[in-house]
Amino acid sequence: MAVNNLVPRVMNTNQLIRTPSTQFQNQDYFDAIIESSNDAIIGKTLDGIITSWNPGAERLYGYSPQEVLGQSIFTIFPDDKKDEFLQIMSKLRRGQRIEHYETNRRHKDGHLVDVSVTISPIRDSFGRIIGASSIARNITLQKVNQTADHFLSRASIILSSSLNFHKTLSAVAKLAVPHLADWCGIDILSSNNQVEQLAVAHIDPKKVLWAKKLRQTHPVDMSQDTGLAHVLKTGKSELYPHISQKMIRDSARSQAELTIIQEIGLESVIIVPLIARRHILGAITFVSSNPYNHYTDNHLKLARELASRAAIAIDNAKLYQKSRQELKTRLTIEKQLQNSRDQLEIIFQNIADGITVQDKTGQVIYANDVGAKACGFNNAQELLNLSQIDLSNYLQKYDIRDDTNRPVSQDQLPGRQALDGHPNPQATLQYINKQTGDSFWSLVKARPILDNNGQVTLAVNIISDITQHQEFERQLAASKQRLELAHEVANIGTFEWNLQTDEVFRSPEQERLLGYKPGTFHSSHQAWTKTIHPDDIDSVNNAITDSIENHTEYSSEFRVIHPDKSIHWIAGKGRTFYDEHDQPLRMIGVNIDITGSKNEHETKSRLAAIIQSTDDAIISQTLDGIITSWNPGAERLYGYIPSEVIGKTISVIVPKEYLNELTEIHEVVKLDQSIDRFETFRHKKNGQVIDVSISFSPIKNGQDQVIGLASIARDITEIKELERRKDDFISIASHELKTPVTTMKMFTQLIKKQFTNNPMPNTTRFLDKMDDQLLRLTKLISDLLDISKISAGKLELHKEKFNLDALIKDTIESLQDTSPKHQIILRGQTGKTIFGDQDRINQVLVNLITNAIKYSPRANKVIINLSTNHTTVKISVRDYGIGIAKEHQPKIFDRFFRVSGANERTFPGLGIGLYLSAQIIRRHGGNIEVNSIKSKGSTFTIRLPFK
Amino acid sequence: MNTTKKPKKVLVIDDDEGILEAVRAVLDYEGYQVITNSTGRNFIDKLKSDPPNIILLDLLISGKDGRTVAQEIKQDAVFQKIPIVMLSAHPTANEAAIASGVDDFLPKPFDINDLVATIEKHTNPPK
Repeated sequence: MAVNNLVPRVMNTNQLIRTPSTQFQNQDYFDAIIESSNDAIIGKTLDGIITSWNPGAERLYGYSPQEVLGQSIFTIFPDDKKDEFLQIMSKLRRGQRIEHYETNRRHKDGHLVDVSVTISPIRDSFGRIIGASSIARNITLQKVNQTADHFLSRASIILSSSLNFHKTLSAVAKLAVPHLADWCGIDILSSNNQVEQLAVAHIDPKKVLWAKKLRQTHPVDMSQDTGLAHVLKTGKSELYPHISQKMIRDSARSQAELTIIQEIGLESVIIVPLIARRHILGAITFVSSNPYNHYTDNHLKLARELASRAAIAIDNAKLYQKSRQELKTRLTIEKQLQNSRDQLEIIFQNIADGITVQDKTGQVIYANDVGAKACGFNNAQELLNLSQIDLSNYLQKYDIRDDTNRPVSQDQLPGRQALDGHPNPQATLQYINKQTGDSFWSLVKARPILDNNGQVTLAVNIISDITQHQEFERQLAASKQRLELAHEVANIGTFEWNLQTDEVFRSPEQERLLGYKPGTFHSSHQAWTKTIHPDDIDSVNNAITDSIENHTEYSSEFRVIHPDKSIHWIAGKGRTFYDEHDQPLRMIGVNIDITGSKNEHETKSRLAAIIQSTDDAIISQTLDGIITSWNPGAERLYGYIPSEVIGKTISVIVPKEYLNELTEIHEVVKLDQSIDRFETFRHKKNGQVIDVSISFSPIKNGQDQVIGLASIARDITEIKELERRKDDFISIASHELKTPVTTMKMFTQLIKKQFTNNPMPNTTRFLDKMDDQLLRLTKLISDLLDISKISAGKLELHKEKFNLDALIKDTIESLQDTSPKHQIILRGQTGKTIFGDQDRINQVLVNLITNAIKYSPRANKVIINLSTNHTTVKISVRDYGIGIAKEHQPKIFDRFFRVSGANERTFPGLGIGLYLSAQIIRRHGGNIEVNSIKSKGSTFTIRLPFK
Repeated sequence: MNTTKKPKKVLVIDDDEGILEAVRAVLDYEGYQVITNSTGRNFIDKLKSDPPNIILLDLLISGKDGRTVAQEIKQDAVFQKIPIVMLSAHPTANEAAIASGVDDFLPKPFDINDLVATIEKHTNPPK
């Protein structure tokens, strides 16, 4: 760089030459610089005669000053650059400078040197141009580098232009020619270590063909330790700056090869390996056949750089090709796999066995429809849509059992076992739906599928739906059992009677039928007849004789007496076999114990007799109300004979207004419930309406299903009439009683009123007592009247909404006034509105509270507690009185019930207050109950619904 | 109570002599003029010239239903404006009373104060 900086100054010296005298000292200085400069500084005349030649010129061009001074400048001009000289000179004559002009010159040894030249005119002291000075710098290296950069960048573009590396490398080889080499060859190592000439380039296409031919006739000998073989083996580059004739001769394997090599004209060679990812892919060979161009380390460097880029390109291409190939192969394989999978799928979907495949987590990743159905699904998709957790939850719905009815957990299922490494688990499983009780059977065989490492990755389940099979087995077992049972129960015995010898062969069952242990009964017919009930002997003997004589089947029913004196009914059947002369030979037959059915028959007969003879009307009907039987009692009660009503609807005897009631009864009986003593009305045939009490019961078939109902009806018209008369009597009596009470009450009150203004001792008090007693009398009469109303079903409630708490408060207040001895304490409140008959509820409260006071003469308080739950209000009345004995508690709400007994303290009353209270509360949809301990007190609790 | 110079006239119809006597005694004491009838017949013509202010009528009169009597009263041009209070010990009297269109009802036995109050209620029209 220092030299470069100096050049302008050197140029300046040329101008100073005009006045050398004044700058003499400087002249020495400049000469020293010229002498020591690396640049070639040459002076010449306008004709091109060299006038000065510094050491830099000598180094650059190889000539000493002595060799060139006075000689033509053309000495160093290449032939093709001679015109250049004329152009330069013409410019100089016009006084122009030429700066940093790049060209080349010929070295003394003939090779070309790249130079950058700056040429300035030399003038005389008059300013005339007399010559030129040129400063030349060797830019060969720079040029090589530039060429190399250019080459590499172009090579890179080519290499990346395509993944077809045959094409790109051929292009690269062509690119190297002629700037980097006269020949450029690229060789690739094939997979079997053969050398393949990928590309060869020369400026002359004919020579390319010729080189290719050479390679065909003389392949690379990989055993050689030099040249291409060596580079391909070692991966080390080789640089032969100068190839001698000796080297050529040594390497040539034949005269022909030697001739060809000599023809190529090897002067200098570079061989660089193509290495990618430590693999030697091939090599690039650069050959210079120009005796003046010899390769240097710079060339080697460039060649290596090119080789490394080319190697990467080849590698990429190979990788690409490989991956493409792999991809293609994989696609092919996948397609084949898919094909075989499709075929398998078709097979799987059509075979009778169910197939499911589970992954390591247990999730089903494949199933055919049969497999899915065998697990209780409608199709495969339903099963495949389930996650492993879903599947587990799904299985929870089933009670899974094996063929010995032991529960099977999910972990014990064959699929799970296979996943856990069991080689071939299998199980017969019954899936019982916990909700519906439905069940199905599966035979499940599982196999683990292993990966390359021997690890279980999948489990294949082969499932057979064996529900039908299992059901068949079950039925078979059941029918076998039934048959055995039938034999056992029916006690079928067989016999073979030899009619000529009178000997009888009897089966063990036959002996048992007669009450003997097998093998203990005498084998004669005579012995058998002795077991028969005396009353039946004749008929049996007749039946036998008749059948033998008439060639008919023997059949009879008779009784036998066992040794233990028990009597059994036997049905006997038999057939006689005859010889050709119609002589009877033997009779073969069976005996069956029919004691059970005989007894059953007797029971039925007995029942039938009862039904026939009872006074009650017994009718059976279907659930649709069609009459199916009608006993004489029904005939007497309703007046219809059976033929008039059987097959007709029961409504012939039901008054219209009670038909709805009939429907309700049917609904209840359908539910297998009986109704006892239901009181209602029925029509007689003559139109008379009668009171009846009917009990209804369901009639069931063998499968325990209700198929009809039986009713037993009794005429209660007279009883009812009596009740009605009694109630009428009470009603009239109470009315008649009230009239004199009314008169008495008025007079009493009138007298009291008169005495209020004119008092007499005790009179007012006595009159008050009279009034109280009249009040009591009125109340008793009212209660009696209410009872008659309730009995007649005529107790009418005048329902309205009212505030219960207010009513209770009023009631307590009014009772407190008349009962100073007891404090009536109210606790709590209901805060509810009741829909009911305020007067009647009040009546109940008065009744309970007055009872509480009445039956606790020694106590001083009665406590009323109020509370509610979500549907009812609770009112309890507690006293601390005499209490009610446990045995009486259930009866205290009965009509006319009064606690009585030798040890009971008696209180006045009719025993109707609690009955009325209970009836009123029931009519309000509520209930009343008592909790009492004798001598401690009682608590009466009412519960009433609120809205 | 007896603020007017002329006492109010009360017609009592009942077949029970005891009741008639008692009502008469009470209402006399209370200052009313009392006329009684024990058959439910012939009273309209008799009293046309000087009709009562109120009629107390028993539901059950021997030989004649109180309701028929009430209807006859309500059909008469003069008597139809006279308020009727039905008295009865019969269990269904209340309903019968309402059905026959009478003005009020008192169940037997009643308190005499209630009787007087009822009469006053119907004989003192709202001002």
